[in-house]
Amino acid sequence: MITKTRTQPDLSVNIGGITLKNPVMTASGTFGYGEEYASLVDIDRLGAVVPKGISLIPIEGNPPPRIVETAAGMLNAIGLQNVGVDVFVREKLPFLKQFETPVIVNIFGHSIDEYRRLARRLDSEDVAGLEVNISCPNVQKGGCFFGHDPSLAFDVIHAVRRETSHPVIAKLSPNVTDISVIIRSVQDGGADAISLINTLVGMAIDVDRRQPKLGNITGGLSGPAIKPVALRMVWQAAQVARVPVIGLGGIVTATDALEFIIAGASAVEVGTAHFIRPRAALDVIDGIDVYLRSHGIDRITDLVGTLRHE
Amino acid sequence: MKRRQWINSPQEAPTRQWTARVVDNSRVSGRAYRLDLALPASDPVQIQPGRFFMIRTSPGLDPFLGRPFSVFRFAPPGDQGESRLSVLYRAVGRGTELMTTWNKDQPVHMMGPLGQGFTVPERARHVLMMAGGIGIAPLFGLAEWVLRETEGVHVQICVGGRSTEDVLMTRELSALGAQVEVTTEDGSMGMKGRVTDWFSERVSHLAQEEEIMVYACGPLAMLAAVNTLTHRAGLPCQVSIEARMACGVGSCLGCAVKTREKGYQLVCTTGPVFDVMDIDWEDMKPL
Repeated sequence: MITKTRTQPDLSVNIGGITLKNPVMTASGTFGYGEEYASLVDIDRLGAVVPKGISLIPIEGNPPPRIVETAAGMLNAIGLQNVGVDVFVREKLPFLKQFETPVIVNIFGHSIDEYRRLARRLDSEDVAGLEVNISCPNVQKGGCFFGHDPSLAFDVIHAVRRETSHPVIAKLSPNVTDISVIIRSVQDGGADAISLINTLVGMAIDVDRRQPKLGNITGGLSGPAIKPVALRMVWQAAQVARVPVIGLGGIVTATDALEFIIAGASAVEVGTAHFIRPRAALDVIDGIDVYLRSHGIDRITDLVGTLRHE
Repeated sequence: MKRRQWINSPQEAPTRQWTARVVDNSRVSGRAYRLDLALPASDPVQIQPGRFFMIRTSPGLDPFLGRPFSVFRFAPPGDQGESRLSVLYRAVGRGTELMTTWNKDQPVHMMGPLGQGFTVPERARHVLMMAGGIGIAPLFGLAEWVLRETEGVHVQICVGGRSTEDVLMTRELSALGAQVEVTTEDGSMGMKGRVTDWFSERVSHLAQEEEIMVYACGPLAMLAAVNTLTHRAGLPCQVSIEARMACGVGSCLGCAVKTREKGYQLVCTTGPVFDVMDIDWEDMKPL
């Protein structure tokens, strides 16, 4: 019998050693470096902030057009434009450190050595963890190269693991045949958690000009359009993973987030929804709280992976 | 160059999410519409001309993203405590077609004001503007501001389009006190040709004058031509650039535009108004 809870539900979670006051994080690349949204969003309320992915040296990004809207979503081919780790640490991180919210730094490299050097560079910084992007579809020889090959995925995570005392989250690509193989590799490499899914590779064509709508020809599909695929993969991942799973892909509402949690995600990341509603993650937090109260659930952790099926 | 800045003005409206209400939504000419919105809160007192709002065209998930629209006109709160924001838009795609169906009192979700607007040098005495089609929208607000807030500044604006139906707001501009010229490519109204043809001719008469400031908004090809002309004439010029964007606040990095000296800059935060000289026009591709 379900009894309605009168006390405040406990939303806190532990993700591979990172304690979050609630399970809702920002997805890398959708929340800038935090400062872009500071006047619009109470950053202190977020479970964690994952800023735009950082590389060893600054990256200028792809030639425009870089984005195109698609049915209930968008394609992007930004090309991982970012300020580089030195500027990030010097100019962007201090801003985020003002808040109580943990900062999980998303990193990517073009070689295992770059990943290793990034991890070493950030090891002495007061950050909550590293999210290692081995799955960006928009750079040649970029992260996805590592995320699609089990042994390379192992090598990257292992290299990062050896250089850092911070918790390591491996961010995985959906553009693979068997996600469970990749999950085993990154676990063996020392990942403390996994996050999925990154964007799905897609394309759009201008039929009048017979040209691709993106300067990069292909791009990463995100937004509500990808949610069913993301949910399926998170559910599959949760069956095989020994480490906590962070679910993302098209989450806009609290109901979306709850689906991921019931499917087995210990935490979620809200991404593209920020572009239409900067407060999207906060609304998700509020909605999860309401759900737990109305279902008489004391702790969010009691809901994780509780999918009922025969 | 000393500039009048509004952006740091305590009067400037704060950036926030709004649920506005449609007051009027009517076709102006051809596929061009004017949308008048009432904003509920009373604190925005002014919006720098050239800034923009992201307006969602559907409350649901499809179309998903907001669209950027320059402020066409803004009126501070009146007796009813509502401020009025007007935008001009052209129905060219799924989102803007949806907008044409909006009726009075329809709630509209939007965010703004965003980006950097136009600045007017303190010493400018003669303002020349070129508007291509719907590009009139931000220039109208600028013309209105200059004519209201400054003294002794002559505002001359050339409004152009392919044909008569693309030429917008000429009567309203005249009523404000601007000197209005018209060009159409088919010659159906005003001078046959483009706004840049008008400018070439006009600038030869102005070459000796000083304290001229040029502003332009329109298709990228037009702005690239404006760049060549103003460079040749040695005149300062600001342009408002249109770009696809998802967020409007510098987070998605989708609206990058190549600049001459600073690599890719974002139309949403560094722009949409740029000094014409800052843009690498060679790299520009049409939307």
